[in-house]
Amino acid sequence: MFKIILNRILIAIPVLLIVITVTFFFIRMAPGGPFDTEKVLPPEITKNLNKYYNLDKPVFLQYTDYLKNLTHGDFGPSFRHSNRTVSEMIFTGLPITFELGVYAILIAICIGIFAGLLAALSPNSMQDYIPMSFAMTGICMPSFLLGPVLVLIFGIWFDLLPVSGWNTLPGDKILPSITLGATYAAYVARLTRGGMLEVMYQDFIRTARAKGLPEAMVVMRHALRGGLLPVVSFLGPAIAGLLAGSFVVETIFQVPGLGRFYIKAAFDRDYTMILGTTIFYSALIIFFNLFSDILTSWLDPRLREH
Amino acid sequence: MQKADRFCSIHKLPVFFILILSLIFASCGGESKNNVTEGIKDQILHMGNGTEPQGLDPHVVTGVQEFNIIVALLEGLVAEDPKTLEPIPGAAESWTVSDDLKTYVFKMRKGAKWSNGDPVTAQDFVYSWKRLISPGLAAEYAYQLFYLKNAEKYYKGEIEDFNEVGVKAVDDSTLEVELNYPVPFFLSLLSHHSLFPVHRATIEKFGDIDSRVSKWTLPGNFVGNGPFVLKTWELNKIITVEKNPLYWNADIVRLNGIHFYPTDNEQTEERMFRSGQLHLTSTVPIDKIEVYNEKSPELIRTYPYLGTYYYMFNTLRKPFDDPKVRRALAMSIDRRQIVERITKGGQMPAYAFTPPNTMGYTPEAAIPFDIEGAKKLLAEAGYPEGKGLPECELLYNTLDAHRKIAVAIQQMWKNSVNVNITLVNQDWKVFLDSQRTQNFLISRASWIGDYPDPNTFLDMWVTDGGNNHTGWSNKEYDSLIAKAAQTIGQKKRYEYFQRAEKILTEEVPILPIYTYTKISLIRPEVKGWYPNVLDHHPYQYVYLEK
Amino acid sequence: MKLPSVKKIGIEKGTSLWSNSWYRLKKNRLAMVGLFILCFMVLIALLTPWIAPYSYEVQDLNLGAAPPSAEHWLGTDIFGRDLLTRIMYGSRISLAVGFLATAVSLIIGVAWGTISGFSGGRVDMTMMRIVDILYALPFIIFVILLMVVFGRNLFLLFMAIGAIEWLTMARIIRGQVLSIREKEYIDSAIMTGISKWRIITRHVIPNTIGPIIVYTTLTIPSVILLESFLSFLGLGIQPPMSSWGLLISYGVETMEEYPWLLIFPGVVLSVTLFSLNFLGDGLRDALDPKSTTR
Repeated sequence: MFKIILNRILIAIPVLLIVITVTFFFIRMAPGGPFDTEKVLPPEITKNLNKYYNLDKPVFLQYTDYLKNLTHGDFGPSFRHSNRTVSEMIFTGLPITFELGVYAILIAICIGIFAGLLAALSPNSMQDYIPMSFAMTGICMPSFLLGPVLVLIFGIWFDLLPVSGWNTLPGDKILPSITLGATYAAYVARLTRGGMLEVMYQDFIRTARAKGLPEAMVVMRHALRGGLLPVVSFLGPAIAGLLAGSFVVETIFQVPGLGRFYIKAAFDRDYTMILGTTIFYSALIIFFNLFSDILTSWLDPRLREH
Repeated sequence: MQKADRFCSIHKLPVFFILILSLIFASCGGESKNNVTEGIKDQILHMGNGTEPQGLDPHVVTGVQEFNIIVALLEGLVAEDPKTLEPIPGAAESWTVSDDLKTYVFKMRKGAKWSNGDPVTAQDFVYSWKRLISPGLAAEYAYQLFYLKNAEKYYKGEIEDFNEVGVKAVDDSTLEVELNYPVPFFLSLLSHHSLFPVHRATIEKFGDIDSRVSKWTLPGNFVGNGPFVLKTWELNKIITVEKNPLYWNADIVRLNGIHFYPTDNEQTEERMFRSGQLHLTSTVPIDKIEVYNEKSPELIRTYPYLGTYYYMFNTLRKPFDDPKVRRALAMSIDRRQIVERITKGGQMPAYAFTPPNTMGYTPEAAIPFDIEGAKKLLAEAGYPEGKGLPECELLYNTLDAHRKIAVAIQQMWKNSVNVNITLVNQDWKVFLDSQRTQNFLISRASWIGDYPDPNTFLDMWVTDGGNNHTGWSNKEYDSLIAKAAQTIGQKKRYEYFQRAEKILTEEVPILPIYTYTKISLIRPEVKGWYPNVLDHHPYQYVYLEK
Repeated sequence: MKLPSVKKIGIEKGTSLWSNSWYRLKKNRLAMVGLFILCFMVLIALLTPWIAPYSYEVQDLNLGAAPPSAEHWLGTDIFGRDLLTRIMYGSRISLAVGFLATAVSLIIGVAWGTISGFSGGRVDMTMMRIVDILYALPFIIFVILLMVVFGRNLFLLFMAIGAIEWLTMARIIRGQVLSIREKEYIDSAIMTGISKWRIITRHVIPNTIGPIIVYTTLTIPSVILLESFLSFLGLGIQPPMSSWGLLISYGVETMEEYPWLLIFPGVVLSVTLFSLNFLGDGLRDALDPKSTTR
């Protein structure tokens, strides 16, 4: 097991390098530069700006310079925010997005698995239809819709919770967490139900039942492990995807997280910031995909032996 | 099936879930408070301020959001009258202008101090302006100083010695400025943030004169001479400033502080306002305007803003190389419908480019709304009933308001002159690139005046002007604008502008649609917030009162 | 259209499995209702140009946004355009995007996941790391580049959506295949010397049918909504054409002033997705090879 993990970590380096390289050249190919504004600048000013940020050098040279700085852990200054470096910005936004993500994932897992189990244990009954209807509603309610609806109900009509903010007013974390978690909860519920149904037909469950084990034991000890496999493969990228996905929620609720930086950097063509967040994001993806693979092999004992 | 049995084991899950939820609740427990009422008590203004500012370095930043904060922290030679925007004494106590209007002598205010106690001197301005036109800093607004003698040459590296540039400190309290030619709006220019002073020792503590990337603008580092000082800055969350006791006119400042919120999303901003988190918003969502106008007109405020919303034609490409086609299209849209039914914010239909009453100038020429005339023009151009006209693309940048206007105009052209247009939206940076490379046929655009003078609108359309993406060129127009620039009497200048404007409405390289208004939601408790065409609101005059 | 490989197996095996499944699906009343509603939606979408009550683009600015009435059953939008008509035209775009883009992602995802999971070792490693890389690339920049290089068209929209949606599908399928590969019947199949291709199509894919169907029913809604984001970036459809995703996102902006602009498109989308979901569950049960044999 340890060897596999080590192997994966080693292979992460070329993966990251490919991501950096492709992103680096992609963003320079995209039309519009970081300093384009509606009022066109005199050419001599543009020239000086490009010089200041080394944009006047050949692209390949810029690329090697960037890699060189990167080996010292230097992501460079943000092109847009002149008094911050990329790493400063990432590390101010990250803890907030992380906290938001943790709440959302906890909500998603708790509600999702519970609803999925309920449904799977007596398929095609009310116990199935009701939670699954909720799940489908959750999937039909993207966060750009659910967020404003929740704000309207709880923030404005009933005036129970703050309409926006993060860590400024009491209770301001609740609505963003629920909004972000809801869609994932719906996915988890559907996948759990599907996965559980798959497992419940299998021989070892029949054997377990035949042995006279109580149904609860059968579910908890035997079925759940296999039944959660699709959920786990889904959660790996989903957790990493929270970073990009949290953008909408962060915008609706004025949460100062990393998601906003990530998306805005792309629109602003803030080259260094795009690269910084992308590197960070790919590291997260590699980590969580690895994590979900490990979890998979733990859940499925047959995989472990090989 | 042993349902009951099954339930005993899973029922732990919801318990777990409730536990988590209560944890979230608990982590943010406490008493609720309302910014609006608390703010009135403490004289703290809470305002929505568009997007997160790029920075607070007056020489580096370019946007309105940044200006809104910088103007609280720094003060230029002259300040603005909050109602009329007339130049009034700021860091300079008084000034004199030579007879040829080319030399200005400013007397610095005695006893004016930086927020660290240092005196504000004439040398500070010389240093700051030198910084603005240092080629290494690559300031976007460096050209604002190109009116100064030799400034452009210095910027381009044609002269090395800054002493040859037309600004010098005769002594600590006397600043002499020499211009290339008379600039009637020069004093107004001085209240633009790019000409604000910076504190030399602070700049040099955190970098060189030409360091764009510098930490001097962070809270704790920032030294300013404005009515407020920078207190906190949390990215994408809040920027707070508090009253500067060392400000020369601190006695009249009644606010104790201002909280600026970067509100990217106008819907969110409106909800923040409604729930009492903001005194003031930066904008209002279009569909909310009607609601506020009907239900609580005391909360919404609309006033003219020095800007024009327009479409431009690419006059280098068929069919818009023919002025008749351009004019026909300009004559066949119902601008009144657009402002009343689509934009809804009290905008004025624009039939010429310069907004009416720009420092006393109102364009006399106008593009008529005349569908029959438009049809005739199209027929003359060889496209009777719109036949033979290729399907043209109308380019706009992705924003709800632009989409709505484009959709309405698309239908108007189809119905009135049977011209079919395809809509194309692009994200902001791609859009700018398409404009710059003239890769469009019709493009949405807008222009906000830099200073209150018709020149800021009309000098755009001279041949090969930096912002003239239409490819349009007219010798007579060029010479009229050039003449106006060298004319001293306001009346004579405006005559030249009127003639230029007439050419513009006949040739129609651009299709003006409406004159902007500034619309915001504002609590009635906010006092001293006067409407003006630049939407400038010096905070020293603002206060909160029940 | 959804599961080409499965169909093939059915034919190979003779008619028993296939007709069996259909028989079982018919017995599932909910699934049949879902199927019926979906067919109805598709029919409406196909016939829209002939049966739509109004034009989707002709405006009546003086009318503006009006609530449902006898003339306009579902009301009108801010331009005074009939909402029912716009939903009908929107269904053409949304259903096409939903089914086609999902099909693209399904084919790539299933193929990629199966090959990766079944091959194992270095092939698996390489294929999954490619997935990681594609996950990590900044999506917005990717879309903008696509647009710049190829211009705008609907085909590109399907490709762009398919290109990102297959990634998660591939991961899920691979996870399933890994566990199926360890089963005894696969071992015995390998020992009897059946070709890999046959093992994959006859044994592996049929056994992953459950997650495939479930994830497909999850992908369709997200694809339909993703379309509105791509249209926002300029890649998707342009006004005055409409789609469900766009109608909903415009509806959100005005949900307090003109709630019908959100509610009706939202209801139509939800009904479609519910039907899809019921049909999916029915199909899953009906096609499950394990329940066939016993």
